[in-house]
Amino acid sequence: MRPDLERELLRKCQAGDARFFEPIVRAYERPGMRIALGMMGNPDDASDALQDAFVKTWKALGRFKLERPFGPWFFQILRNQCRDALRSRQARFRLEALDEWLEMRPADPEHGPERVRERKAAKELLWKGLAELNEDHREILVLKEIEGFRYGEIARILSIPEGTVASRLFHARRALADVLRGAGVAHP
Amino acid sequence: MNGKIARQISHEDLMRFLDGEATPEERAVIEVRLAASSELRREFAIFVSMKEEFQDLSFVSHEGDSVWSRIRTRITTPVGWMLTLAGFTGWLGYGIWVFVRSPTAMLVKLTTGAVVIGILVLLAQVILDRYREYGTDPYRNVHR
Repeated sequence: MRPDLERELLRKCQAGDARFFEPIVRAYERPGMRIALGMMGNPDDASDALQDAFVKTWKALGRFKLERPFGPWFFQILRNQCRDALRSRQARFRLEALDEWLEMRPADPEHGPERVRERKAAKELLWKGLAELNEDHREILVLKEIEGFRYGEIARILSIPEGTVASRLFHARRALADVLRGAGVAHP
Repeated sequence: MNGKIARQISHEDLMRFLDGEATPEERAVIEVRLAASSELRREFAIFVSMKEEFQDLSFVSHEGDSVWSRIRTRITTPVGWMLTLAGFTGWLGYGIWVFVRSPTAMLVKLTTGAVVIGILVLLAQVILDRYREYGTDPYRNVHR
């Protein structure tokens, strides 16, 4: 969505007109769902967290400064919502029904069904590995590797310096490598 | 391996290089270090491999499965309730004021008032019971 259009929609939302919130929700729900899915580990809890985050965003819109980018602000709310939900008894990170949402990019057909099986196993191991990480490590890997945010954006979402983003990514990746190694994954 | 990296280049530098965030000068330094250290190359190859595995993942598009309808309900329902309650309160107050000031006999006023108050008490009781049940209902998040 164009930034000027987004700003205009948000201005109308701040005036209390909920109709203009729909394009905002539709623009951010897919990346939001990917982040929530990575954080929560299952589609039901991810969808609940996403809805709660949008409702909180709507309620807090009056405090939002229009000159700031909306995306990092919303993803910060979503990230906090996911963490709150994980800490409450309502949700816990669990890997369920992910096949409906997650797939590997199509393998080269020349490699045959064996390659497809290998890639499916790799996907499952990767997600199981994520489940083993602590919240700090999991969320930064989700933001970087799944959503592809740049360090500056991650720093704004997590409210940490850019140097800390790089440092935390190193420790998260090392932790994931250790988990995968423990699961028998042979890295180069 | 971590100590080795720390002595030569920082973890942060390596991550910036991996994620394409390093400056050309930083890239040149790290490339030299990588060329010189097989241990660092092995460490870096693990990170590259994991990054590629993540990049191979994609999310299935669930078109037509927007959360907007549920969000719209949640953000507009409180407004509806507030307007309804405000209107109802005003209407009730005006009704009581007109009723009290009317020249109707006191007996009629008392009996009519008793009926109206009785209905309101029953209604409030039903709403309160439903609210209490909702708090402990294990199926409240189950949708048809």
